[in-house]
Amino acid sequence: MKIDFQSQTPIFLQVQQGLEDEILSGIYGEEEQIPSITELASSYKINPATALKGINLLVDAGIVYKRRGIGMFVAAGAVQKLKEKRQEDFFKQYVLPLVQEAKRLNIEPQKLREWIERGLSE
Amino acid sequence: MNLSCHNLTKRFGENIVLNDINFTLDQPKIYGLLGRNGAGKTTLLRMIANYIQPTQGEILFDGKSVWENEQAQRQIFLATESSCFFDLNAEKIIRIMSKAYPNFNTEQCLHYAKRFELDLKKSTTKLSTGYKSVLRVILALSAHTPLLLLDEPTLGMDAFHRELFYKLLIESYSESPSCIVLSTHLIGEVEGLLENVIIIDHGKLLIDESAENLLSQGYCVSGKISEVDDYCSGKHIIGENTVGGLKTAAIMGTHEDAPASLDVTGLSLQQLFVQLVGNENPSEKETRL
Repeated sequence: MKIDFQSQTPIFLQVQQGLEDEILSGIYGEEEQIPSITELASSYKINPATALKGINLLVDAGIVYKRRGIGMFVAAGAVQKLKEKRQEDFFKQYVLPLVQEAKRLNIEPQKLREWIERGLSE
Repeated sequence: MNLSCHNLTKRFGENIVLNDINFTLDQPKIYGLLGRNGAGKTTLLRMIANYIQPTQGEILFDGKSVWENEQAQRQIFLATESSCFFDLNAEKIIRIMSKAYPNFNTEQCLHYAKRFELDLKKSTTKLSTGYKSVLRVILALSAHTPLLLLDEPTLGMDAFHRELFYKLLIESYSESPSCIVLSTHLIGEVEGLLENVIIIDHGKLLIDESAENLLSQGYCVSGKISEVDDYCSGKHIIGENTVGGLKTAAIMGTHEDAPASLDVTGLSLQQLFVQLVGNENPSEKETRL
């Protein structure tokens, strides 16, 4: 995870997204423990209240859960839930910028389709 | 814990260092106290910690004046460059502090000293600037006072010690939140930590609000000069910078739909600070940001 203090995205949302990414890529498996608020705050030099705000979004969404006095864990089924959520954002987050950049570089639509095919086969 | 400053003014001879300052600290939060050199930050902290007396106005700690208030003094810890340790070594100073502050944790302080590799036997007058700062911050982090004032805590520290200090500060705050006032010029290093920001400029209180609110007041756009200029017309520009054909402008206000060809980013606290307290004329402002 990387925190960008100049981003338009508030830090607590960056914490949420960063942890989601790490859960999706399997750094924290289901039923495995994620870092504590203090660890997150001191690793990324952010206020613990900010880290908590980000974590709470994951708790509310059922992605992680708290075990009293022990810590926070990735919920069973979290990866599936995250995938579904991310699929909804995929078009806006990846496809639109891809097409925009292709237009800026004068890449023909046919060329773009070919490249996507090539990407799929690699 | 509640600390409030009322119409606080400090004059040294003809020189007005602080002019009619009012604010309240009442929550376990990390406050950033920012200002340019000579803005009056250290004077303000020294008054709160009862080192010097205001010329006018008063400072109340839980409703009572801090001046010669022993009860309040035990609950406020100030770490500042002018802290006087005489010719003593760190070991003796730790012992003195453990008597002065009721919640002082000597064991923890010695542990911190070890982590910073501070020589406890060496006279503090012989410590380097960086190690003097190390001593001040390990005392500050071990005092466990409801109000902790840190004036340029990382002065002269190397990068490793600065990182260690921030880590210990966050751990300590996270375990037992207290009210911490962090005064520093290294804004970029602390901006993620600050919940509230107090900015003093030329002795006056300029800003006292949450970091979130403050930063949401502006944004940056960058792109081709002509496009940035078109977008900016009629908007409140607080700073701009041109490098070759690329122009970046800092704008106050809420972010309205910028064309896709422009990059929109947030303002960093450092950028905002420089724009707010810069007192050069606008034509000179161009090169900053």
